[in-house]
Amino acid sequence: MKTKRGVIEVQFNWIFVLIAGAIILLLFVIIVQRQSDVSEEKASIDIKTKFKTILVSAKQSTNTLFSLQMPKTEITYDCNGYSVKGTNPIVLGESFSPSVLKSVTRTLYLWSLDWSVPYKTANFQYIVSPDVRYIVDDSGDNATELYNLLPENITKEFVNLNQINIEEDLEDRNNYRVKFIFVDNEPDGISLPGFLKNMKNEDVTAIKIDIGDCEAQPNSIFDGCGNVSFYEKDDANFDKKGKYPYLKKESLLGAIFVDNNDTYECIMKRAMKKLEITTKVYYNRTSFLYEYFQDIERSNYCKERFEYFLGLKRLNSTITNSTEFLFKNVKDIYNEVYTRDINSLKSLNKELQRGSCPLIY
Amino acid sequence: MKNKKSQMELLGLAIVIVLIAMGILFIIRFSVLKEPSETKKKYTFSELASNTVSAMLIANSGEECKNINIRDLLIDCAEHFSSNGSIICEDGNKSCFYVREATRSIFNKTLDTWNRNYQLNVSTSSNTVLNSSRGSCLGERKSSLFFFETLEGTLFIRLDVCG
Amino acid sequence: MRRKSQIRMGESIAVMFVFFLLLVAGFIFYSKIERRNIIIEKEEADELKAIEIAQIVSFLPETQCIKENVQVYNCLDILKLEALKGVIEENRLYYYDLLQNSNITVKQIYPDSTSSWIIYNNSRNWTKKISTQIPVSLFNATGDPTAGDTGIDPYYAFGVMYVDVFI
Repeated sequence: MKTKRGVIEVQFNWIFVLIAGAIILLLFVIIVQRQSDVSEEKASIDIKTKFKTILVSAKQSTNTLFSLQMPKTEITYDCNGYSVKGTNPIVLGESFSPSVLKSVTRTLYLWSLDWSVPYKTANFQYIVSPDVRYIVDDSGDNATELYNLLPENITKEFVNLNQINIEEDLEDRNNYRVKFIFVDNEPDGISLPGFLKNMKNEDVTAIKIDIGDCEAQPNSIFDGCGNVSFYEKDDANFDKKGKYPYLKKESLLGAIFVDNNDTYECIMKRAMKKLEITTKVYYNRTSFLYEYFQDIERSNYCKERFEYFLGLKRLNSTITNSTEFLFKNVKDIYNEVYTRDINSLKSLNKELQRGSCPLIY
Repeated sequence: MKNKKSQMELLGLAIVIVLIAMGILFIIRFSVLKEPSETKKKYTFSELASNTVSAMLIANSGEECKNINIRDLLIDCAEHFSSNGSIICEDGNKSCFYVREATRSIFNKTLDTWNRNYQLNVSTSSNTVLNSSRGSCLGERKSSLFFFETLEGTLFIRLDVCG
Repeated sequence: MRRKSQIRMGESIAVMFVFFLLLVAGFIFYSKIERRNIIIEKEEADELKAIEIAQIVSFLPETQCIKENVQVYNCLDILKLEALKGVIEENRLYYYDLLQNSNITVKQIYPDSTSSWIIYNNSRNWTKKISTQIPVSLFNATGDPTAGDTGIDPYYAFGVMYVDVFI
């Protein structure tokens, strides 16, 4: 009698092949997937490490605009710092940037300026994408000066936003963010063109600059103090989100480049903290100089030593005022330093220089 | 026929093994033998020469030599090389002697301690005012060059820090 | 017949065994290489971190010499170093963001090596230390000759800033 052994053997062979093959395939798929995840995370960490090093170096080189080739990835930014693909944020201190950084040409611009009040306190860093569009309203006074304050390489333009046919002057250039800048004019009455209405609300923001009554520095009317109001698009109009002071043009530029009022407030509070700490150092230093020249043996070497005493009062006032980020505090700091006639910190320093004494700053 | 078939099979196997071996060789060359990049070494190396010389030249001698800085002492030494300098320091030594001792002391506590080879040369067109070195300088080197005008011509101050 | 199928089964199992052995061997080899590469990359990241901290410290406005509101490169103000004592301690959390686990000391080398200043000290449990030495000028404003002939202290000294970063 013939058995059916051959039939069973063939089928068993196929089943065996299928199971073994499936196991091997599954194994490889799991390995490949795991490797892909690990590689992606490794790449993100690598990008983050190198990006941080570049940002830290660039921050120390003030008054220089750098162009940086960014990786093909999106970088997010908030008060905690810059984050690359969800990795731990890079904390850079006083750094201003839109909340999302991306660029079709994979280019970013890095710019650093000294924030001096009046002594150098911090380096303010600005990181900007050329795909963010900055539109300065040219119907306000000083708009030209503001326009010239912005660096050349960014995407900026001058438009009269109060005219009726705004759609003709404002064409869609496929920017992922648009920022309007008004000087002394309200953004409320603006009728946004269609392409802007179709963008997400957080992608279209505005800022209104109110120049305060601080006696401005000779180089720029914006190098004083004032207020900035942040607006965000609310369908077809602008909705006010907050109002904060600015101190010197560096912080005003920061307000222009961030698109979130909370972020601006957070960074400026950090900057004010830095101002408080730096001023404490100058306070201790000035205190030493005052006592040093009070000594009867040295008193003849610096006859203007009483300026140190007045300087201590000014510095103490700055320390007290820098604990809160309010317009009246900012204005007081500015006046203590630059105005107040002969007793401002700047004037006291000049007197000490005239008397060949070591300077306060 | 059977011989040819098994020979072809063996050849195929051999080709596969050769390909795998080549792949492994590439991996070894580019992954295993990858050298760590000495980023920090390059960074500190690049600034060391210029930082050392610039800081040294403006350092004042304090009570040791009438508070005159090293640059001025070197200039004095260059201008009055034949008489070992015209400035007499507090200990009675002249500027040339003092400045050699001072630079030796500085390098002793810095580059020598950090095991850095270097070559310091201070000279005019006619005289070598100061020459100090440690070890050989055959490989990569970073230089810092300063020059000042003196009555005896241009004084060159060059420090080479060797990698 | 039975023998033949047993031999064939044995063959299949032997092939599978060798295959998996090769796979495992390949995996171990690959993971060893990757481990080495990751160690190298971590070392480079640690060095970059040390450079960042050295750069941040070199440009801190709280320590740098300032002349007519322009930072003087490679120069530390001694009076500021003295004034900094206590200020950094009071604001430790703020400075931790900048300087993390590191030790920053400045020592005067010439004309005398009696003075030193500890700017920042935060060294917790660490396995690795990366040291950087930066020669600097130390400026003492009370010895400034424009202030008249004090004859007390030299107004520029030669010093070294030691930046030790702990990983």
